[in-house]
Amino acid sequence: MGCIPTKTLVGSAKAIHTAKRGAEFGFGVSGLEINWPRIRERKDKIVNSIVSGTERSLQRNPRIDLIRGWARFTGPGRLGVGDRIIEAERVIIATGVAPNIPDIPGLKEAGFFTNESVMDMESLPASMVIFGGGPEGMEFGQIFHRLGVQMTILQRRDRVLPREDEEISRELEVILREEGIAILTRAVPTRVEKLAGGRVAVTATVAGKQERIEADRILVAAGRRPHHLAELGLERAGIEGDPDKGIRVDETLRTTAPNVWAIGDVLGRLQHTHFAVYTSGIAVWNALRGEARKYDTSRIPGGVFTDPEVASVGLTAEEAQAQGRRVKIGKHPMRAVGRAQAMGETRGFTKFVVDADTNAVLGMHVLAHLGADLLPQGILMMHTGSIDPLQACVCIHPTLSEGVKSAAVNLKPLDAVATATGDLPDEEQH
Amino acid sequence: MTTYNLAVVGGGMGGLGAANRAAAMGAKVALIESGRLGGT
Repeated sequence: MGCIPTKTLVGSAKAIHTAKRGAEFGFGVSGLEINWPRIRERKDKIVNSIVSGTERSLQRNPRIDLIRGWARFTGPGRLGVGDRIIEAERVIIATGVAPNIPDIPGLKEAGFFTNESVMDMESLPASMVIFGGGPEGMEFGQIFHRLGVQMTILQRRDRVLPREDEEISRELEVILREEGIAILTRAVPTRVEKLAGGRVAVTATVAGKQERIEADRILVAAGRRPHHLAELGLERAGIEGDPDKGIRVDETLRTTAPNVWAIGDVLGRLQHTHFAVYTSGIAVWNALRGEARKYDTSRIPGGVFTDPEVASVGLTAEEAQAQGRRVKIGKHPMRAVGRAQAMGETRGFTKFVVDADTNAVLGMHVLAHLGADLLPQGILMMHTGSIDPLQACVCIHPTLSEGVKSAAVNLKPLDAVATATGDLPDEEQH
Repeated sequence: MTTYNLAVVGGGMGGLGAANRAAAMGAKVALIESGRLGGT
């Protein structure tokens, strides 16, 4: 439910990882045992508690009828669910996405996990290959590595997390490799064979060369695409859309059918729970009150829950420059933040991309412990129209947020920015 | 047969959000979902 399941696994994996860092913090651990069934139980307990709370609240709501089944349009404004016909003045489509399974010979026969099935596997395999080095692949790669599984990530593109700021991609790849996860970029799986004992062999072209990787299991994390659209019968209601690109909407989320709106993942644009929730609010206002509120993707943030976390909103420096803007960058490494040193979480940095003429925040990019929770400071500044309030405010000392403020007050024109390996003057440490 | 003010197809996080908000605004809502509420 809304990505909570993976985050419970991130929590377990982080705790195990910290236990193994005992020497740094002044303790020793012997006999560290990883109990996968117990990790699954913890996930299920947390998820079930949220889901049952949601179900109870729906049941208690006299205005909502929960109808179980698969819907299909039988005509404009009419839906069929099994034998039942549902008539509605207005419709909102929120059917979401499902795992994209690439067409690789032998893959279906060999069997594979997706993000949905991997968290419920019976026992941990000794090794696993992940197809995909995007957010899902990176998160699962690190989680299962920390649970003791030998992990290999195959990423098609030349870097992991290709939509993120490039420095973040590169630095995180190094961090995960140093932790012991094998990451192959420009790696395209071409064939899968089943081996004896249930193992698999993946043939992949890696930077032009053919490689063969054997493992116990495969996890497909190759993106997610709109699903159920063929069965939904969009054409019977005059709604344009297709399984590859999603449902077509205008800027008010209205589809090509006048009384039908679409929201969230099925739009084929951004795949975040918070985007689905954000668009649900706009669509409901437009549908029920006849308004024409527009949705805006320019300030929708995204996060990747690796350790350290990735969090970003808005434009990268390159994207801002491509738009013809003069850009200032503010960047501060976490190793220069006292609280980060005290916590033993010194990896990464925070970075602001600011319009040099207006001081408007164009983007914020974070690689840091609790990075997703540091990002809202940048999101807020995008809404205020300027980074000035953040520069003026006083942070509690010692916090990770002081690192954010340091990035905000040390803005430099793009070409004068120190790299991640550059030395900082002493006065910038605190 | 009820004619709903709004039918929401899909009970993931977006659909749930839409159904709850619409109900709070006074609408009679049909929320259609085949699997677990809240999506994946």
